[in-house]
Amino acid sequence: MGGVPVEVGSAETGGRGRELGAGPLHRVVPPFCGREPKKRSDSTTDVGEPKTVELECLAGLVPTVLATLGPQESIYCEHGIMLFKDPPVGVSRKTIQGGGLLQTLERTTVGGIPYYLTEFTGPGHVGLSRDGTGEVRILELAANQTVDVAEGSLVCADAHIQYGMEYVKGTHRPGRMVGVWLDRLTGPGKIAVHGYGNIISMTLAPREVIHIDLGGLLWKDSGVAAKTANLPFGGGFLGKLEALEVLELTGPGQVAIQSIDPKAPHF
Amino acid sequence: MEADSVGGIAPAVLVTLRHGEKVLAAHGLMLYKEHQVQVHRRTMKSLGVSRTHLMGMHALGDSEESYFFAEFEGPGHVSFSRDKGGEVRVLQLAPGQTIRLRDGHLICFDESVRYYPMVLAQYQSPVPDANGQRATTYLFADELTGPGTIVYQSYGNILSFNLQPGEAMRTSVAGLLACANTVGLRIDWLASPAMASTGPVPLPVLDITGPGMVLVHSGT
Repeated sequence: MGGVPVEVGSAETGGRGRELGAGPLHRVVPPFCGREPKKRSDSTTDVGEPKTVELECLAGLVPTVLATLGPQESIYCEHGIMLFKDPPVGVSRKTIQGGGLLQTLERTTVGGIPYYLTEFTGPGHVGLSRDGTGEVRILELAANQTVDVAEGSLVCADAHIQYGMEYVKGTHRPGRMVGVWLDRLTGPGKIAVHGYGNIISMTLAPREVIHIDLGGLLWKDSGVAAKTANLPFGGGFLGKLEALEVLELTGPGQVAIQSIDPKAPHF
Repeated sequence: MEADSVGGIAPAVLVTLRHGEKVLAAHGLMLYKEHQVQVHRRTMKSLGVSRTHLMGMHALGDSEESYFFAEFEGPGHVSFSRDKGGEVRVLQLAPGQTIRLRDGHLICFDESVRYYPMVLAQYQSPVPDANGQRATTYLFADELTGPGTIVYQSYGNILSFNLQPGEAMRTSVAGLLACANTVGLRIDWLASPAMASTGPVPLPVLDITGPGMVLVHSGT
């Protein structure tokens, strides 16, 4: 790992940022982003020249991320999650590199990874929302630090963030023939992730293992190993048939879990 | 077991189990668990619920009762979530105390709690369908008897009432979340010409009579 993620804008820090280094397992991060929504300035006068992309969480039941972009500054996000933008903000397509035609078809049709990403270039403001009840976390990644974010949870990322994909194989049992796709993001820069429901963060010690629901993972350090597993309910064929399918995570590193499976109906 | 509600939007339950302690939950509710926590299958038969009773309930309608529970054995932590917004409550049942909780709301319970699925109430539609049949709707519940801890979730917020003997209240059919076994339940019908432009539309409601605790939730 290139460093520890810095969580920006949590209630504990009053928005100043906080290191999520060593800490007890099961330490629960308080709900909501904690910071009062910043009043949005008039876009015609508040374009400024910030040195880094400014990402801000507008807290609420369905939180929004407000990105303030300086001239030529860019962020990228999944297509279709834009809530609003200033007219000067340019929109373009960012293609995803990786794999051939078959791999692209697999991850876009079977998995939830998009064909391409949308890039917004400043100056101006962009509002982005995942249209789901939950919490947003803004992470600042150090140079070469990599995190894996669950598919459908990335709100946006600084254009300096390198985008890739990680595939965790399924258990190949009926109902779980395919695995889980993750967005692999490498710093330096800021990213915003949307957790459905509440976010539970923890730090795994080296070789510490937890089992989580397949839809429960929000993000993890790339150093945390992930594999799918069946937990049999007793012996015999029936025990294996009714086995609990989980994602097995092995430390060391940070893990964030969301209390709602995004694929479950939750409204 | 020790149970804590975690979070405010879609709360999860964090259960802390000591060595050998067990908690039972419906299959698929687990959010995460520590590696050392063991998982087993707990059949309804082992809880004293016969297969005939369970199949009979499933034959009646859309019962959400499981054929088995997942049993988690400590030491360690295990967390559960129903993937819905609402409130999570942890209730300590005294020995012999019974609560009837609508199906689909139970998250987990102690091994010492006696579990029995039941039909809480039933009613026939006053209006026949196209075939001339009057459909029967069943309200299913989980009857839980102490001693022990149970954890349940409402959809929306919970309103709690403690009815005196003979005191009555009326709720919507979907609004009732739980009640004590001492409470009387009766289905009644509301019908008003103003309820629909096409004429009276009968609306089933629950007449609840004390004594006992009644929990109503604001979401369905």
